[in-house]
Amino acid sequence: MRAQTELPAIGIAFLLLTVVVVLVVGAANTALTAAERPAIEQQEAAGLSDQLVSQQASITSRANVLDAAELPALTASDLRQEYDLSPGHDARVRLDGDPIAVAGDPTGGTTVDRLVVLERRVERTLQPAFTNNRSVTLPRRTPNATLEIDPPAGTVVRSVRADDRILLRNQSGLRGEFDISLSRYETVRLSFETAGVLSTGDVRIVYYPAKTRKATLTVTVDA
Amino acid sequence: MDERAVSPVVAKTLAAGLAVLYVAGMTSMLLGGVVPSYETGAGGELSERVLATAAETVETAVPDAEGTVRATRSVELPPTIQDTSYRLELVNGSLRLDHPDDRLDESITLSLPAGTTLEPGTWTSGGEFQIRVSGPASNRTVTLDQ
Repeated sequence: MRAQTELPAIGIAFLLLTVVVVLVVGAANTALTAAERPAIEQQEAAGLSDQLVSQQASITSRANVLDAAELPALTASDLRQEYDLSPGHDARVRLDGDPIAVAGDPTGGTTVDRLVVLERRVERTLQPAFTNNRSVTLPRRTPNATLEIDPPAGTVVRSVRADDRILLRNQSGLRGEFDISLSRYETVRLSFETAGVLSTGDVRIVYYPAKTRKATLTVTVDA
Repeated sequence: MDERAVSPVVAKTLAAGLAVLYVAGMTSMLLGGVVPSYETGAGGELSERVLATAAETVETAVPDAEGTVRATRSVELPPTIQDTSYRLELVNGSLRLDHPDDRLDESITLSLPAGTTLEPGTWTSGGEFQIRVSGPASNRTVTLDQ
């Protein structure tokens, strides 16, 4: 039986070898898990957020500027159809933490934060006094405005100009409400050519300057 | 006592047999179970990244701007995944990775500006992944160079 002492030695050697193999497999496992990242999910989230703030998007008024009036109209099906969210992927869009649109039921997932400008149009009314002249400068830029011209008897407003451009013109007199479009890139001075006297209240200008603030658009995609 | 010399021979044969069995068992366990699952895992990860890189290339090539563009963009992608060549297909608004091993197939919907047309096409791995973008803002065409 003397030779059988080899067997325990072999057993111990195999045991050690097995332990080493298990350790190596464990290390390989850790390395593989550590290298895993949701590449497609990240790409999808980045692409979706890009489309949401692009100048063509229906919720923006220009690149990176979200139109507050259009935001509530954003729906889950918009995300899938207009902004190309993959079918089967879930997504959530939030603005400063408040959910705007949710497609599916995202749990976890990859999140992309973007700093955007939130633009809101506010209505302002101006009633020029016309003390020394027949013109008025709009204090803020606006893409459009509404003029209400109600001259007193004996006064005829013949034309209205924005800087040097003629907006309205009627030789027999302008009276009533007019929608005019203006350039939002320059400050506008409206001049009225009249025969007779204009005073406070005869002309009412409603215009829509932009009110902006910074906001964070958060897009989460769960593949 | 003539057979006394046989005892070490038996012992050695027994030990050698055990060693062979152990090595065979270990090898078949590693190659049969552990290694293929790692290969699939690594291959899946690689195919995801390849597809994400390709999709990013397409998406950044299409500008969000007015005017007519004519642009070419290319990116180096791995020639093989798991030692097998694969294909990238541009179909129906999405980019698909087609691998002989179906477990590695992936698909992603491309986020492109409205009015972008994707010319259906297939790219086979090996060369550079190259795409061409042309046309005015209202009708941009994305073509995959073969």
